[in-house]
Amino acid sequence: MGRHQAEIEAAGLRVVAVGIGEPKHAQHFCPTLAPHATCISLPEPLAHHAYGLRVASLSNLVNVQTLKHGWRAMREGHMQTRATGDERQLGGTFVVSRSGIVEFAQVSAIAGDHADIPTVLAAHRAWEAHNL
Amino acid sequence: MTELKYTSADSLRVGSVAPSLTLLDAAGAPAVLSELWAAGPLLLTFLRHFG
Repeated sequence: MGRHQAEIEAAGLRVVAVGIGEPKHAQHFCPTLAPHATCISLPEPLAHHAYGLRVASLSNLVNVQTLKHGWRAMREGHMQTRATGDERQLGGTFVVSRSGIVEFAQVSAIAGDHADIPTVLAAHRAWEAHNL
Repeated sequence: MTELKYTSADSLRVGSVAPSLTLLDAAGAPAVLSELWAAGPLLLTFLRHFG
């Protein structure tokens, strides 16, 4: 996401990263995991559940695709260390409008399944064109 | 706005009302999602974990 930061800002979006852990974990990890984001967290994945994000089965965590995702992350300099929270919890990405309506939703089906940022931005532009 | 509700939900769809939850910022202060998006649209990314 970091390499698209200028486009994200140009689109008027503020990035908020929701983690599972305590504020001290956000302080420690966010400068590398999400350097341009506002990081917020809870010790339990309650927000993840409220947004309908999935909990993975073993096959969603370890398969050819997730290994490719892990390799890609390592090449980009992300080395996973001891993790907080439930390792089975998957992530997701949403764009939420100023009035609290979901403009874009991506729910990860497997580990490392991230939203395509150009697609996110296109959805946001389309939403704004129809709703402003 | 949806009140604080920590229950499992079906995945949110485009056009749904996003749940407004109160989380903690990196300094430990409450961070209310609806207050964040009221200031401008959010790209809300849910990390799998810290680490």
